[in-house]
Amino acid sequence: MRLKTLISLPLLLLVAFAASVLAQEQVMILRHAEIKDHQRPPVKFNHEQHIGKVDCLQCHHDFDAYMNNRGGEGQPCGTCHGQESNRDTISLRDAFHYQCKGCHEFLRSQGKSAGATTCGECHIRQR
Amino acid sequence: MINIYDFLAGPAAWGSFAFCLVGLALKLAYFYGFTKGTDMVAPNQGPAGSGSAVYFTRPPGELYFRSQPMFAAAVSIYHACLFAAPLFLAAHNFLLQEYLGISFFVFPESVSDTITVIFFISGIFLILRRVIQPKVRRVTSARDYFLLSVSALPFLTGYLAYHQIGPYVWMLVLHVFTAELLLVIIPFSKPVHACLFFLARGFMGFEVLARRVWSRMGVEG
Repeated sequence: MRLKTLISLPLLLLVAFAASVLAQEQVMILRHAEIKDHQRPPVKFNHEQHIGKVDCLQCHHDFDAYMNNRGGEGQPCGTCHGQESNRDTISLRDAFHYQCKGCHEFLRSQGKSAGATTCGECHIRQR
Repeated sequence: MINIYDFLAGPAAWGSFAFCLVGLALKLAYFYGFTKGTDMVAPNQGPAGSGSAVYFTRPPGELYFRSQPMFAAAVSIYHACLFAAPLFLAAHNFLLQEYLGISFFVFPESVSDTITVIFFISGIFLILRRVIQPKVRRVTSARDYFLLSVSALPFLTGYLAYHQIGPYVWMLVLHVFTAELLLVIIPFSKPVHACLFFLARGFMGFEVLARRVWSRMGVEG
């Protein structure tokens, strides 16, 4: 009985941890404290849907002074991008717009299917 | 559907802006040439003319406005909102920033929303005025209601799209289409007063201020 508990408890914890990580990763609500007041409803970003379709480093980037992408380590976007643009980084809002909308528009221009490009398709109002 | 939007928000938008600006420039050139041989209005109007145009835009200053304060308020608010809402709307300026790398001052979205509602109220007042007041009704034709509607439709569809009432992408397509329709008909219909207003007021200012002064001095105007 004690042995069973000893084995099952860590397993249970592992499953719970994995589930919580997956749940967090699948659909992320892009509500950032850096953008002080969100004027539009925050975007629900489906991370799962983009894995395999987009090079991870495109979003998880880290540019050096010569604009070489050294690849980020999974830090949140708000670590570098703030509410306003500055000399080195564009604002968080612009970063999201360029990454999401820019990529969708580019894919569509290549004749491929892609996600939303209009405001309300991403910033969906809850009824 | 999204391809229609891409076309309307891309090439069609540039086309209709260009059409509107070229049309207005041609209208100005036409009226300049039209009066050149007779009145010399455009070259002669000078400071008296521009002063008159500025004077008119201050509603309490103009006699016609002072006698009709309600109409003066409605028509001034209508025109102010007509420019302020689309020019300083956040979403429009994001697109402008993306396309051209420039943007104007931007209102918070709640402010733009309120401006749109005020625009509707003043627009309804202007329509009711045409329906109710006999002297205005007499000079009103279907074309006037059509033009008022065309100027209000981009606001209505934009308002519905912003609040996501109805099918969103359809509403957006209608919004862009009606706005482009307005741009295209501006040079060839009554909204051409956006440009010719300055010539008309210039002429009046010149007639009333400059020519009168000259005739007192015994100089032929």
